[in-house]
Amino acid sequence: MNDVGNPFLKTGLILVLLLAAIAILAPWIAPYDAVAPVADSFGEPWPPSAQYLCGTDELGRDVLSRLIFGTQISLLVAVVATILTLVIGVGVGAVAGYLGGRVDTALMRATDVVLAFPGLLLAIALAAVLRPGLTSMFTVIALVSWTGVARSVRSEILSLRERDYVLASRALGATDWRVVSRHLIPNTMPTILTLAALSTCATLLLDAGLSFLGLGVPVPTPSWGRMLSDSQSYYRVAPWLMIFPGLAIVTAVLSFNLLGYGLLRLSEQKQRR
Amino acid sequence: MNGERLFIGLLLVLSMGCHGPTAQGSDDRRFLRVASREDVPSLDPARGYDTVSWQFEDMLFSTLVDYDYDSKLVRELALSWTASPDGLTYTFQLRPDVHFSNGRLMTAADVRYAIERVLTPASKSPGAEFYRGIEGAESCATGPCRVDGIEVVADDQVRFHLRDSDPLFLHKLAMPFAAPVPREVVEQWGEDFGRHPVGTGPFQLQDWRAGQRLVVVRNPLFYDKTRPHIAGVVQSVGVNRDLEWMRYDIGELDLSAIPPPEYPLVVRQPRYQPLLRQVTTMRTQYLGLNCNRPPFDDVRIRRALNLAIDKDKLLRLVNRRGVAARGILPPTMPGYNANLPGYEYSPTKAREMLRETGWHQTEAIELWLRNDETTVRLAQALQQDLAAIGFVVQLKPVAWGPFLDAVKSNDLVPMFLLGWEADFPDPSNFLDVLFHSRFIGTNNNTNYRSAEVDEWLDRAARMTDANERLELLGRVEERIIADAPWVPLYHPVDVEIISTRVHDFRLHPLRPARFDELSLSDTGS
Amino acid sequence: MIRALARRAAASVIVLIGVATLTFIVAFVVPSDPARAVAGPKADAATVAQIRHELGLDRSLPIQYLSYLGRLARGDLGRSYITREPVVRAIAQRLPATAALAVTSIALAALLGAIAGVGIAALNDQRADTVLLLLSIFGLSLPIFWIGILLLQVFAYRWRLLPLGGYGLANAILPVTALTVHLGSSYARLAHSSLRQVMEQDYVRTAFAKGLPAWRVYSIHAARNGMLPLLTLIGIDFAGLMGGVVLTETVFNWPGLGRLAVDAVFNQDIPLLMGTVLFAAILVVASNACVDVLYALADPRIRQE
Repeated sequence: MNDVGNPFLKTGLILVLLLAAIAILAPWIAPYDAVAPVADSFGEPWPPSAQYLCGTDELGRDVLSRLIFGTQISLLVAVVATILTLVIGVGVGAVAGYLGGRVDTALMRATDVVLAFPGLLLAIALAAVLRPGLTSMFTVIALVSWTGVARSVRSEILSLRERDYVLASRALGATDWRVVSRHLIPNTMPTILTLAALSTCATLLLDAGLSFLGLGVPVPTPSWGRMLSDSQSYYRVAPWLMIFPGLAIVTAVLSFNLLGYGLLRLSEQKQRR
Repeated sequence: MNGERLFIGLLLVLSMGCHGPTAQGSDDRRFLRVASREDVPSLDPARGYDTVSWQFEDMLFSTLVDYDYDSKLVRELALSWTASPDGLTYTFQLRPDVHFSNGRLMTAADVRYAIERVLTPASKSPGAEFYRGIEGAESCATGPCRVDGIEVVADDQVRFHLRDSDPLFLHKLAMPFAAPVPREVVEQWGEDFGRHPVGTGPFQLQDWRAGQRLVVVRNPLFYDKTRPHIAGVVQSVGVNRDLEWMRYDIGELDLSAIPPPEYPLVVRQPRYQPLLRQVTTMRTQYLGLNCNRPPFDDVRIRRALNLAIDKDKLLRLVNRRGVAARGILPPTMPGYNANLPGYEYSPTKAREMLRETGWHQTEAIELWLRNDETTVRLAQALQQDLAAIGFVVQLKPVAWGPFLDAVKSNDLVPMFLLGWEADFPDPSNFLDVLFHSRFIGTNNNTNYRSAEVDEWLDRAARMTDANERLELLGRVEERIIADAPWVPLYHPVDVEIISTRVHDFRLHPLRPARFDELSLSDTGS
Repeated sequence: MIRALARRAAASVIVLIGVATLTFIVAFVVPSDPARAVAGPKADAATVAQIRHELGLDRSLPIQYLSYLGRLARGDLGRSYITREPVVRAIAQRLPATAALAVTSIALAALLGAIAGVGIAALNDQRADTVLLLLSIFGLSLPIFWIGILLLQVFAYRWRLLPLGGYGLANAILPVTALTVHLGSSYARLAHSSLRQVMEQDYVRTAFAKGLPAWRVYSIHAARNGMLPLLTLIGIDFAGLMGGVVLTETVFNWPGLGRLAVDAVFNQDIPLLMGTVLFAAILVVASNACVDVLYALADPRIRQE
């Protein structure tokens, strides 16, 4: 199998770009407003029809429009939280791996502490404490998910640290910062990219899980997890309220999973060569 | 190692099977099967202060007086009572034949002990405030609790001496807090009395598996030998509203609430019609406006909001299980004024009124609410209505504890969505505790302050003529509506559905439904 | 070896103290007063103050922290604010339910995952590999609570084949299924990839070349070396699940630790929250230590280190 033909990577990439396009174009492609009532369906949601393709919810809102605007919110949460996760994780991992010794031990103990917590439980406790909102979501997700990244980056850096070109550039008097930023981090980039894609999946699922428990982005902002959680009690009489947001989450997670797995394969193939 | 794990797993699964709720025995059909989401918080009458706790405390304990279905006081442990003309002394003649479920005779000393216990700080009772008006209650705050105002006249006679006359005193004795408890059992279990409750009620606790189920069985020593008509009650715990309904629907439960999504379908089906029971509760859902904070320091803006809310839409969201509220008091409350005009829904007038004030919105105003499904849904409807008159609101759903904390702080919350449920069938239980300025920081969460209303309320508290008092309180309500610290939304109607084998079941407007008067037939599901 | 074990134990204790501290911080950053949650909506200020005092919440934070650590050291997790039940007992009562769910699901998932992973790897067919990968990626992309609701909707409500949540043998089938789909997907993938790696090793190729029957090669070489990563993952998952299968327990109303913890969060029942979180953390730390030791015992290279 050659790189270009990596079907996982290709499919994942296409799907992710498609989602991004939906998110960016949301105001133009959504048929209705996502928050204001557009149908007289209070208390009794309407099933999908030609006018409302995915039906309406119990507050008279168009489900399709909410899904489309929800793409914005869900991707925003996923991407920003992932970036935060990476910043913390790569930072801690790189410093620990490069400096080693006491710093390494201390940082890895701290990682162990966070890792020892049941992730979702810690997230729930934090989310319940913080003011509900987008910023809180980013913070909570990043605070519970950086540990995996930190560990992987650290072990990668540990092995790279002893490579010839690193030793050479240190011998030539390069500063630590230069060595880390010019040599070590660029060389861990494939790993980081893979981690980014996979941690986006984890983030999407965590966001959905928190929203499901009522702790996500506050109403009436349409996020997929929120829509699922709001429709919990309607799932028998109005299954479209839970099926569509669920499918949206599955599609998004699947896309990033495929992308991540494709990247993983790519870097494995490169290493083998 | 794998084998061992498998073995442990098998053991666990087997042990689960044995304890499962199916292993009921042959008496199964004579038990009423109910369910709830939360475990019963407490069966200790000094501690529980919520619907689920009270439902079960009502079964296990009895109070001196109780309510009939019209919320009138009737005798329970007391055979009769007299009040002195100045309203400071109450004397109760107790039934001579009341036993605790452990076999000991209940006496007047147990009545006194129970209230002293509630007043003792160490028992952390949320009901302490109700009995602070008894003479000598203050001793409990500092030293050993000796409430001399509760006089044990004889084993079957008890007398209460109050510091000030209190028209609500009998109602306070009807709360489970005042239910007699046996001192020796309380002292034996200490903090764990709630797990091993012993009372004088129609039922006694048989089994309580935290998070799974709670079983009460008939108390053979109950003073009224004709009650209860059933062998007991099995409550499955951890069953949310949806599961409760579905389990009812497949015949696993005898009683259930109906989730809002299902309700329209249920009422349309003829076979369910005869099984529905409903009651208008003594509750009012309202939107509270903090009169201390701009823009709600301007009464015109508060009135504009009153005009902007489409209560009919809210009622549709709860499937019309409610009565639109024009005033503060619920329809089942004495003193309810059916002719109160209130505010008509008129978004155009509201918009105009808002414009006339010249107020300009610079940022979204926070609406605080409890983070639960129905409340969040209602709040979104309110948000939509207010957006329609150009009033932008940002929702802030938080957990119950933080929500209460925030609402009770003076300055934090501009507007909030909350309900109030009467403890006593008396209008002062709304008007006084929610609007008198001395309750600011406690239950007057809108910081509403009117010297005139305060004065009227104080006068009403001293009145002995019931009709005059109700009339004055009626004036208070009209005045509050005009000042508009609230947007009254609706009075919920509780609807429950019973299985075909349940007979003589009624809902109570003030208290949780009782199970000691219903009976079960052998036929039906 | 013993020195290494001692070091491991010391590190575990440090981590546990860290966990206790972090829990304390999370619990007390709460911008609101737990006494209010205990007292309920109607209690007056005096009652709330009294409850606050009785719960020790009016003492300074450092003092509360020290007394909290002191009680922890004695194994006392305190009593729930709401039910007044000792936290240790509350956990002990919920533990069997969570354990039953976790053990059954992991055993099933490991069994099915290993069979699928090993079987497909043995086929040595690229298309089969791709299908397995796609399936496992798909399985991992399903939010577990969504599968849960779908299962309930179809099997319990529509077809009425199984109970609608709750605790018991038949009630366990749906939650176990949901968890097994989730866990099995990752086990299958891991079993598959580690077996593929092992099969490319020289000693396995030699074994095949020597003409050993395939099943012997798999059972002796491949299984022993290829399954180590799977065992590690199972160990981690087990500890994680024992700490509470939060979403699954919520959807299926399974009376386990996860729901206990979530209820504790929403009720601001700090002792109960801290107790469940700490308990979960202890399990994770202990199981990590066990995995390390098992590794050391299984792998002679690590043993000599």
